[in-house]
Amino acid sequence: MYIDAGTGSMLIQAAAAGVFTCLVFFRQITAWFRAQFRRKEKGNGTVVG
Amino acid sequence: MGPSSAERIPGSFRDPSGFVFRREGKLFRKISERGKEDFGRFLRSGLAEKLVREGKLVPFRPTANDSVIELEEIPFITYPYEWSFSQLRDAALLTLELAETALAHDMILQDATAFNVTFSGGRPVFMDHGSFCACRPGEGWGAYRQFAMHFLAPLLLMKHVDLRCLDLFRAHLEGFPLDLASRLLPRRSWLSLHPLIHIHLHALMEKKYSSGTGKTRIPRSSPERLHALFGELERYVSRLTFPGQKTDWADYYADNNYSKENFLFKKEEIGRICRRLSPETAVDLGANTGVFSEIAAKYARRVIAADIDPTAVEGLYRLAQTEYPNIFPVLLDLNNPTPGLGMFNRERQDFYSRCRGELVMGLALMHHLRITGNWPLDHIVRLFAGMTSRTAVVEFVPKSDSQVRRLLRSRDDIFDDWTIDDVVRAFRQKFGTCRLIPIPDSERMLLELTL
Repeated sequence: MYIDAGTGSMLIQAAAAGVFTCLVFFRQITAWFRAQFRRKEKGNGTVVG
Repeated sequence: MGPSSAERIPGSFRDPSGFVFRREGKLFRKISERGKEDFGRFLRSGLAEKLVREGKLVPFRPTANDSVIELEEIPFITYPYEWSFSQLRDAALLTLELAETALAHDMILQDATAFNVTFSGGRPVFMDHGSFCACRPGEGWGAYRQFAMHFLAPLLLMKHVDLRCLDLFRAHLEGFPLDLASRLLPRRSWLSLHPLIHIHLHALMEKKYSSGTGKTRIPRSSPERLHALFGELERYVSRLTFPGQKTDWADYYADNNYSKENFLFKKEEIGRICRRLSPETAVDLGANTGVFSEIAAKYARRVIAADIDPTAVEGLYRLAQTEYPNIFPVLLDLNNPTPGLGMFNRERQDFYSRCRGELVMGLALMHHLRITGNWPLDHIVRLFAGMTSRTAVVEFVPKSDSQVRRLLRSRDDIFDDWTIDDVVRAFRQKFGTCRLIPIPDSERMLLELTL
């Protein structure tokens, strides 16, 4: 590494990566619940025609 | 083959893994002993081939010397301070994409400077083949700070403060100082997650640890964490849309005294000249929204379209992205064109030494140089004669025209030589022939000048 990464920068980056990992996890969970809900809704739908 | 008898490119000296040089008109990269292992890995992993195939990395080929590769040359390099908002954003997205793709190949992008990217074919392309190195377990992204300084800070300032904040790049080639960006951004940006982390808290942390000499333990990272960081940055940056600032020049064509017919005549005449010359490079100075760059792009191999207005350059970039990939947009103030910058003023080249064409156009431009900028006529002649190797096409707008009257509204008319006779006489000092093309139903005149 030929550039100065900066101690403060590496610390804030570690914190940011931690926050974003939690955020991604949270998004995956909500996406899963949404998918379940949609599947259920589809199952209850009436077929016309 | 070695670089001994070659000319080393002045901007390529920081990274000890190699450097770029020119020899017999061709461009090469020397891979140093230090960079050999990483470059070998870059090739073996298939990452290099994938990036070249996808048009994201400048193509290269091996030479007889296994520590030298030959690079395909980009015909016109533009620098970040010459880009529009969307260009800087797309360059940031390319950098993040490369960082993420590298990670999937057990490599990491070791730097994230905006100067590693330029534009070709209407899209960003990465130029530094030595930026990829092995990913060490537990290590974070060392280029994070550089990414914040080169991309996030300027983008946020342009978005939330003013598009002209891009000019700060010229003064800070190492990237925007984060403490300055933090001070300039509006207070409400503290309430937004990404600006809060990458700029405000980042600036505070930099300050806190800048004077420390002791060893600080940095938490271990993991590929999953880095993927989350790159993914979230990508998600955020891709949502940064052009702020759509109202500028002086945005409505230029809607607000002039051209009738539909004489504008059409002008377009047709420019089309005829471009078709006849079919230049390798055409330069359109004061291109505005690119009406004439578009015409030139049909007949020229490439068109360098320069304008002072960031909104106009945004439009030119859109044109390059969609219909005319041979247009190279560039933000340029002719009164203060890009100078040579950086180490010995040679690290980043000035505009004039990069830009020359067989055809140089300056349509509805000269009166702004003469009257707004107080350019003497011989300076205007020098501009066009210096940039073209064959032909220049300029437009003379007389004092009776409403555009010129507007420029003279609040100042003394000290421009006695602003007559067609004086202008032609001045151009004839440098140009062998001068063909006058009157624009019907107007007092405007096109001048086709040949050296």
